[in-house]
Amino acid sequence: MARPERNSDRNSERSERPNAEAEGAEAGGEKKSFFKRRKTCPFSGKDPQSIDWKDVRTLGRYVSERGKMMPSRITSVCQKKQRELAQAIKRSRYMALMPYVRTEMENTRGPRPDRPSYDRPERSERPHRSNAV
Amino acid sequence: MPLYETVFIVRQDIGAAQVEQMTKDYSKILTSMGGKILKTEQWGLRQFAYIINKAKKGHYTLLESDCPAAAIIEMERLMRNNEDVVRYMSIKLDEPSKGPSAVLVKHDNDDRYENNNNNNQEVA
Repeated sequence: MARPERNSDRNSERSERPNAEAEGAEAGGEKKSFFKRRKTCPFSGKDPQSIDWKDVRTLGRYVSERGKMMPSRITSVCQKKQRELAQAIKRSRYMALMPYVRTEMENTRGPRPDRPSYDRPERSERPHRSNAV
Repeated sequence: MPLYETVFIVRQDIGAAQVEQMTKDYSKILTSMGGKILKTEQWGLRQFAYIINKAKKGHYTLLESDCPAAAIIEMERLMRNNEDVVRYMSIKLDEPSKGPSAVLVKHDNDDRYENNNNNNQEVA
């Protein structure tokens, strides 16, 4: 007798939050497309990019608008290379090729990168849906 | 002997000729201690990403050398004592670098140009 009850509970739950599901799906779609752009590590595999602390242009891609390093779960850099990358960014920062912090003022000078902001993500853009099923 | 790559920054108000002279002096130290200079690069006066000692710019120089560790230590000691050197960093390399370093390579796909293109497309 317990089973049908549970089932009905689930059903009611689902029917209760169709909006939430829809929202999640939308945001998930955006997130997926962001991830799909580069699935593999750009520094390993066939003809890999080299990590050089002097190459500010390349390193700049793995740093947020604020100047923080991007986590590898977003950039899909493999662990080994992420460590190298972190070292390179730190060296580049020490030699003042890259900023430790970039403030909003400086940001207005250059064009903004065409990726969602990692520093201040909007809630709807990056929902933590791994736990909620 | 291991390969080293040294980059040092000289104060802005020092002339470019003097920076060249300093580079020569440091290379001489490395060679006199049994080292070999593989590459020298003058990156010129570059803007810092942040203010260092109230300065916004500095002369960057790169020295790539194949020399004993003692020579690098001696050179770093001299750089530390020299007030005109704002910052220095020596890194051991696995293999000699090829071509000019990434800082000197000019990219023609300038951000501004890209932006203009995008705008045009939007208009069309």
